[in-house]
Amino acid sequence: MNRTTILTQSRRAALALAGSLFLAAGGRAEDTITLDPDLKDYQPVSGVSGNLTSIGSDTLNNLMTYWAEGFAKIYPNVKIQIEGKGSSTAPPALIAGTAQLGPMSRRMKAEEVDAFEQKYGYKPKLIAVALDTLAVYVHKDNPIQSLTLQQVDAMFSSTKRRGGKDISKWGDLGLTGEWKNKPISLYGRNSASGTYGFFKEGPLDKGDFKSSVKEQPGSASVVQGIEKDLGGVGYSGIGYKTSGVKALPISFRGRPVMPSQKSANDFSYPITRYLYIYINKDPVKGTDPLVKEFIKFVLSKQGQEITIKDGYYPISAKKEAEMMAELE
Amino acid sequence: MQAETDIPAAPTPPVQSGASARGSLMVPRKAARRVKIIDRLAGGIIRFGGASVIIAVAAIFVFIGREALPLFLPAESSLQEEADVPGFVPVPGVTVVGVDEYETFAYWLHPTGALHLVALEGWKPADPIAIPALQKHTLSSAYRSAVKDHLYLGTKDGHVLLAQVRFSASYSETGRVVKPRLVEEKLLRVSEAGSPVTHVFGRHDSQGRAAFAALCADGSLAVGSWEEGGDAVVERVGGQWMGRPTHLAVSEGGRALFLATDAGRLYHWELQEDRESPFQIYQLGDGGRRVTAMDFVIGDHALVLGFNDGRVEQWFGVRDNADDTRRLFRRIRTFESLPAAATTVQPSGRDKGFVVGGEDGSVRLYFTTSGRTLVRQQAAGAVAVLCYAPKLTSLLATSTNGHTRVWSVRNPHPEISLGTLFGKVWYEGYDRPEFTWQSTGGSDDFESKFSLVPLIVGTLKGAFYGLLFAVPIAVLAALYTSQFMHFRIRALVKPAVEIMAALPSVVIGFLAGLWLAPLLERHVLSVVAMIGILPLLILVAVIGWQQIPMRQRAKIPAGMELALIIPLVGLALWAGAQLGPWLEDWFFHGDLRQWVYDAFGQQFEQRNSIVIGFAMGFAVIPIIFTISEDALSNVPQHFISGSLALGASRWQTATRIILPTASPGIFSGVMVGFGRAVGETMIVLMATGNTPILSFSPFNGMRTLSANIAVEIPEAPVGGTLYRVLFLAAILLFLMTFVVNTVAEVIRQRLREKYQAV
Repeated sequence: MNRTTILTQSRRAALALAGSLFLAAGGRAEDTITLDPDLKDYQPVSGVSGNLTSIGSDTLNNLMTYWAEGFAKIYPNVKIQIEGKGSSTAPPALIAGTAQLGPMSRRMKAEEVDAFEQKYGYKPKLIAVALDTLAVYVHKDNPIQSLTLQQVDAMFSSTKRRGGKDISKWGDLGLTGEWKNKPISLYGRNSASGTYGFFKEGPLDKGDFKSSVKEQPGSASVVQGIEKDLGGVGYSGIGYKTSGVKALPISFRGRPVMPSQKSANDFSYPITRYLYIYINKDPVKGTDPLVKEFIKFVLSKQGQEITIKDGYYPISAKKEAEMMAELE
Repeated sequence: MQAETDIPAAPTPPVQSGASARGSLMVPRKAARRVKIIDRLAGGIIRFGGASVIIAVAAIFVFIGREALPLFLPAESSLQEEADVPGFVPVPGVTVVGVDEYETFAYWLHPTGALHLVALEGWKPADPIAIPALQKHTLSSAYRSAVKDHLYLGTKDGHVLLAQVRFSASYSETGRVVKPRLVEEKLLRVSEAGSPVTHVFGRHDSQGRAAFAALCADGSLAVGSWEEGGDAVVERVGGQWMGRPTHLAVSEGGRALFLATDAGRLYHWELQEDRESPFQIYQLGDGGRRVTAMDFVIGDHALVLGFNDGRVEQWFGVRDNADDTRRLFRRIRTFESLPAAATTVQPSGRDKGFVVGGEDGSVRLYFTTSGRTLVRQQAAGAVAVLCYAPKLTSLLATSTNGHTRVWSVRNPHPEISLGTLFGKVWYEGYDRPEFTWQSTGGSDDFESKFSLVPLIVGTLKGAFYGLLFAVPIAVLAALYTSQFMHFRIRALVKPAVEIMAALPSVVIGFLAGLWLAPLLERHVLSVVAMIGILPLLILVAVIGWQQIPMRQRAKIPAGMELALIIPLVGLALWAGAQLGPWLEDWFFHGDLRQWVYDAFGQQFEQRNSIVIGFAMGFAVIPIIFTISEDALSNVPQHFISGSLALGASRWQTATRIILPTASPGIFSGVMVGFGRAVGETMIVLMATGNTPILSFSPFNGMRTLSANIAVEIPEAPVGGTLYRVLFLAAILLFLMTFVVNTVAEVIRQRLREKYQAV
């Protein structure tokens, strides 16, 4: 769907385009996001050139594009191609060798790791590159103030593992007046996305979605759907918030928590996850130098600044050190 | 379709007869021969083309079939190894066996508190690993979780030891080296009195938090939890039970606790709600039946119970009708029975399968969703312990005499049976058996739901609503165009409609989804009003038209009346738009969506079948129109002349003579349109919510077979179950269009024969 090729010569144009797209998406939530001061600066090395291909998550697609852009600024001889159809497209691409970078918004499943291992004899390397929170969005005119995780489960799930009663109209959540009998219209992501899997594993406690959840092909189209549907509710990354929707605070065994950097960092916001890039690191020969430099850039202060710019939360210096150790 | 029947007949006879007739008279023999050669050549090329089309279609069918076929192949298993375990002493409830994920080592827990290892390659015993904590405390019971080799060990002095067997792989130029080691995580006291732990059971969740349950000889029951770097908690669980406890199970996170006794009872605690007394007690059958093997299926929502009479059952929680939030466990499935008592059960760590061993040495691999028995093997004696290797590629059974058999297992698609594809299946956590499509989950313990029924229904539903819109318009338009329209306008109209077919369906889908759907949602009643008003207005206009004197009417050339209707259409659209909100206020309290929901309990979805009807209809109209128009225009002129000469009006001629004569052509046009609608992908993909629901309501959407393939193929691992099921869906799609086209062709031939006599 989003196949973006960044060549050094068309860099400016691509940035302008991506920038305008991002402005149109409305920027991000209220709180200001700060970088961990202990994050290291990126130290350019000499002799880096070649081609990199990234295939995977749609959620990470914009972010990868920005990172690639920043990386190409430092190394003009590097060409990076980015394709983002969904996290499930990353493992086959890594296995076939058509991509060196596999951005994913969830961890690989055992079967996927198996398939990789069968080809290469070792497991793929997992690098956490950003923090993301999934927000539950409703139409901006919806009077609802907050939701519990159990209510989210009871709205979206047919199995209701969290034990709530079925919720199918807004009155079931205590709304009155014209909202009392208004049916809830559910929006979600398609099953190729890591967002789908993560929401299923987290709020739904590994339950099943109702079959009436409208599966949208991209994170942005979930938000677009809710903007135009007064009774709509859906989940999508916090980076996709627009002025037409509002993100609800979610409570889980405590007070409702708004998605923010603080609540993401201490995981007190209950729908928080890491975003990952999977790479092929040969345990004997080590990581391909180009891939290694790219990951180092992503984890550096410069890379994480870009993370903030795209509406996600940066990782901590501790996590950076942990990931750098994985890379070596 | 028309072409198929016409090609072989049409080109050959005229050329032949023409050539031979002239050949004898004027054309020299040489030229005649040349014509003959060209004729044969052309015939050959046409035959070759036809044959290669058939071969190509058959080859595609074979290719797709080959991809889907492995779904239905049975599981394979074969004996790999047969040997004795050195120094094996089976103690029920203590002995556990495990295999690492690379299948390099198998380990047995020895009652002395050591792990005995064997390298599976060549069956070489390796050095045993001692468990240090068990030098001071004596082992009395043990449990091993199927995922990641976590061990939960109970001791004679009332402690529980949490430990893990870890296999670390290191790589060098020569390949992979796997090293086992034992990690002691935590030793916890569960019995203040120091009573021996007779039963223990535990779970680690994906974040590494452990939950366990322990039953002591003095009858005290405790649950505990522990987290790396966190505190350990041990709490007493209250309750009384009948009979001697035989099995214990606690779910991930310590939510539900089960205790089976030899009195045939199963006690169920919901620990987060009430730790003092059982939430529910179940009677497992008539007197004498008791549980002899028990464990959870992966995910910890369903229990597998093996009985002393060889029965194997699956139980899980189903919503209680009286109280929506309570879930009572009940028997869901009974599997093929073992010939003798079940002795042990071992769940798979990857899917919803599990292995059961019997007293007579039988080893069975079952799968819950499909209820299938996948593997039937025989161990060397009564089975003491079992292990289903982490990657599900081998199965190991050790008998009470220490004799061990290892089988390799190949079982790629256990969840597929005709029942799971086309029948109702009772999935874990569902309140009743259902047709559900939900192929992917975020984790390994997800139960895939591969019912094709909602997709087939969705396909038919989309085609139905598309044709409902397209057939009347296309056929009536074809009738008017061919019979009544001025030939100059016809020369414009027909190509214009055919150009509609050139519009890419992705554009139609895009417009339908993002422009038409929200518009229609706001103005659905206006559209209904327009559809109602337009024929009424035309009827009024026609009556008015007849009042106008013949002389005035004659000024407009025949077939140009169409021009007069255009303002009428505009008027109807305007009136409908005005009337819509008014109707909504009057009949539906100003909100049709709400009314639909209140009256039918059904959501009025924005992306519904009405939108699909319009969009799909738009794509199908050109096909039906063109074929119907051709058929109607090709009715022999002498039929029409005859009819008119006998005094029939143009309308009578059109409906009584032309329409029946052309009906085979119109019918095949409709069927080709149906075939197109069934296979249409982009429109439904973009303009519906792709909701795999089982409903024929016009107010909600659908997911069709073709859209489903497009949505899910990017995520399907090549060769995996989902991948093959999608190919199976492709075969179904192929068969559907094939059957429809064949039936259509047969009916067309019949109709043609019937009307040829006219």
